[in-house]
Amino acid sequence: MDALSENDALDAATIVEQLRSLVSEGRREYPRSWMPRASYEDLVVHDGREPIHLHESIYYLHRHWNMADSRSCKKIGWGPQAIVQRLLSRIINGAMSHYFAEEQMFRSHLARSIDAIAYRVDNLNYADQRALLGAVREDLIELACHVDNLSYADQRALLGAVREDLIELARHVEHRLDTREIDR
Amino acid sequence: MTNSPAVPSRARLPVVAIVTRHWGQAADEAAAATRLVAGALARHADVAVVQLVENAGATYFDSVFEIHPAAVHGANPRRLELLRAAMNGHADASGQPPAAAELLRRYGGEAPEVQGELKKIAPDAVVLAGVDQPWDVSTLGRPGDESRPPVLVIPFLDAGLPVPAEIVRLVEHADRIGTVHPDERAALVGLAPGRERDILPVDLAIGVNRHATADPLIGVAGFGEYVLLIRRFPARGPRLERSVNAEMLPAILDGLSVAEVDGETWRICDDHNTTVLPVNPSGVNFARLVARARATIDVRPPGPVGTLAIESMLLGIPAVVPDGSAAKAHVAAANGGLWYRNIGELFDAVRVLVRTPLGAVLAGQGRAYAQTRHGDIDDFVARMAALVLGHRPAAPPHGEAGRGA
Repeated sequence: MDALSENDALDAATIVEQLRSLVSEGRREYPRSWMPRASYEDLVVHDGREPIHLHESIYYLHRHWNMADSRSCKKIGWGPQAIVQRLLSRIINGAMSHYFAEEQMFRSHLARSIDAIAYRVDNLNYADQRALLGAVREDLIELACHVDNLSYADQRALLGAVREDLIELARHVEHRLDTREIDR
Repeated sequence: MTNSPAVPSRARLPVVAIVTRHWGQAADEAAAATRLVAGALARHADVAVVQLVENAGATYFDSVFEIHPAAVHGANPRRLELLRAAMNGHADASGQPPAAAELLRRYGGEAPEVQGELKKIAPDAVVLAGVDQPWDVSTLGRPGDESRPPVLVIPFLDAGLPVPAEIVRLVEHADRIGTVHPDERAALVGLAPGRERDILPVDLAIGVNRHATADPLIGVAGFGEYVLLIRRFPARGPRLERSVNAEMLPAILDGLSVAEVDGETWRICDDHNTTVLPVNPSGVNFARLVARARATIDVRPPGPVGTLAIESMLLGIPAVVPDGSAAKAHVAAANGGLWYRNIGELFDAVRVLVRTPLGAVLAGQGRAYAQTRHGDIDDFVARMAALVLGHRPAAPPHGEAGRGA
């Protein structure tokens, strides 16, 4: 490069070829062959599906599992109706306090369990997708390396096969579409 | 070609018909180039555009040129693109399997109304812009027929891809073939043996704001020197376009900032900060952004013209462009930048341009080439008149130019 810079008129093709020869001599700082898109993680995170632990019914469960407030009588005042209601509330709560405590405990465990399951399902979902995408990625890189290592003739043969397949596919699609038109 | 005495009188300007799909609001390079050609011709002729459209209702109503819509019946652009992609492995158009050629013709559709529109226009010259001409071009006659108007074909061939089969039919009926980038000529010469003299460069003149360097864009001053990365939004293009972004470049550029044009979102960033530029994404502002850059890096899918590379070189900025593109053909001919095949080569090219004196030398060479070939709009207008009408007219005084037919 330094030798080139001393010249007044430069040939861009020579510079490009020199850079490529430096790479072929072993300088490979950056990817030089086909690589699949690096943002597989984004595909998983932004795949348009809402995580289960954010579902509105689980949100409702979080807000309403504790019903202790609902058991206490809110009626205030000294009217006969308020006095009777407070009295009944004390009697019922007193008689069934053990049951209500058990019920409360059950609901709290139920909410925690559902929450834990939701998180676990979400995590499993992502982990599976990541594993699958990771495997696909590895396969694609392997395929790209395989194609890179093929001879020019073999690459052309492969391309020819793909081309024939595509023509076949186009005909097949056309036939299907035509058939559908007739069916209608 | 330049010594014909038949300069048109003011009373009756010649009529030029342009038959094309590349017109209207489509923001592709071929449409912009066709409009540039029409504009240049309108200085010395009345220009009518026969626009090939799938949906006649979608015709673009133009304020300058009169548009004659011609519906394309039975076209299937999606299947056409699929099959064209499949055919890209073929070395030349003549080697395509007959089944594929037949399917390509069918998926291209038919536009029989074109002949009727041309009869109505009664042109003195015809320009066929683009390879997609799904009508019976043989009705124009062959070169040498005295009764027919001269025909210019501007095929807008993608560099690096095989020549589509349709071009053979067009070349047979064309008097001249105009090329918009240097590799196009090389591709066409093999298809038309003995007609090398009829294949002529169009050398589109690109108008840029030459004073842009004196007036930096608001928001970039605090970021010091930068390179300009040009992408397309949304990022659904080929892999490289999605992979290279402004965030990853500063790491290899050692202190240089990166400005990024991503559709209408323009931003600039260094190692620590990113700022969305508070400017209107106009052509003038784009020139101001380019003019202050150390280099432009184009990672968009290659277009058939390479306009951005020409703009960059006109402003004295070296361009880094994809290999196998029209832009690369310009940059290589001008020695005004470098090209890449993959991310590694892109980084190498940018490093060379910003870290060594080679960048300045290439910039100077690119500017000289671009100013000579693409910088003189008056010369372009005269050349287009010579190419299409067969004479090189004297520049008319202001106010005497032709307009849409």
